Amino acid sequence: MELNDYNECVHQWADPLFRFACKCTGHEEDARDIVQSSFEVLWQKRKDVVPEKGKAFLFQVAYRQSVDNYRKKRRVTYNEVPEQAESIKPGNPDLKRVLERALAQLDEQARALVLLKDHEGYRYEEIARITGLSDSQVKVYLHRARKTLKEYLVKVEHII
Amino acid sequence: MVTMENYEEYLLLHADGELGEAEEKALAAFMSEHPELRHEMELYMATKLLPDTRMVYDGKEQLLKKPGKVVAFRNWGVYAAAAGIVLALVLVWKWPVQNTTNNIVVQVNNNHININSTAPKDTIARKQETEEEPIATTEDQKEVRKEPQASLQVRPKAHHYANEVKRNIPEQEVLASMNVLPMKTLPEAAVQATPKPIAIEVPRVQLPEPEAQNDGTGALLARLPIKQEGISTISTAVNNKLEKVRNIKDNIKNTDLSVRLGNKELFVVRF
Repeated sequence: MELNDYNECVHQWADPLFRFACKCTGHEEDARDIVQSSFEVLWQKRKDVVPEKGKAFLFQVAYRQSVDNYRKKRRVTYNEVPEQAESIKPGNPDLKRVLERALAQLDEQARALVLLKDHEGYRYEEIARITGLSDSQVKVYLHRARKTLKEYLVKVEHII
Repeated sequence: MVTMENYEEYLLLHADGELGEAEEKALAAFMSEHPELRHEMELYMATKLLPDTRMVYDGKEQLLKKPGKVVAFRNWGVYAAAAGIVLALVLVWKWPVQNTTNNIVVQVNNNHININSTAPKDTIARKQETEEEPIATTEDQKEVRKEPQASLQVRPKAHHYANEVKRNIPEQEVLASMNVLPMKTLPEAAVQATPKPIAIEVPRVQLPEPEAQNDGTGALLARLPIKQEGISTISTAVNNKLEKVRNIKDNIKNTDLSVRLGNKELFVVRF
């Protein structure tokens, strides 16, 4: 990866990485630190990273920092990110807010898996490479997380 | 095949987008047969999160890297040679000056060797020495012209005596032990018309360039391990050094010293 490739990664992946870190940690300032350090690591390792793998490398570093480190700190608080986007479906303006609360019920790892799946569209094997889990682990953890989210939505039946 | 036992996994895989084309068709067929499960399928699909594109990282400029400037260092050999010459000049110029802080300073003229015993003092005392020494040198040179015989004079400086007085040691005893004529102050010595040189005979030495050898020989002798051992030791050491100087002089006759940088010859010194 050369200088131009790195700068292209900044333009292309800084925002998704920030959203991912923000959702994982629940803290904007922590998310900024994670983004900054992730790109710093990418810059230091740029000779070993091909441009096509830049995004996966960034999310791998961000995942380790946001999940592993924060898990060690035993952070239980989750600051809900202020709602800024419109509702996902017409007629369900509160669905996004409910989903944010449902996401907060998950642990850091499950939250990261859901975000990597839904926001970034990674397949199971790609998520496994990023997180260091096996394909089957990713599948099991993701399905478990999805069931938790669904059950939360069922409890708030008036929204659906 | 989608059944009532595994349909939930199919719904999860469908929500994750991990089903193949054939599996999607099989799930669609199963759901058409079981419309009561459609609500559950919608719930799973509702768990999919969409990215909030309004959340952006506002510090991208700080993450971007700019290409570093490459400073071309051309003609580095010339700069290296110049730096080497300057360093050599500084060393040659500074080295004898640093050695003059030793106790013995030797000045050599054509037929006369003058040794001044000095002791390092503070800065003011050194300034006084530098002001006094040229006067003493000219007096000595006049004396040399008057006396054809080469002689060796040992002149302790005034501050040396001052130190001795501070230690409450009688001046005459010290000078007597050193077998040196007493000279209280350097100006007084300069005023004396006929100073009495110490009777240490050194062979007549023919040195072609007196000014050039003043510093060099002084520096050589200043490095000698002689401090207060006595005049006989000094005389022997001076003789040895003069003999070495003669040998060096004979050895470097008719020789050329060339300084080269790579294949380019900078200058040649002919002796």
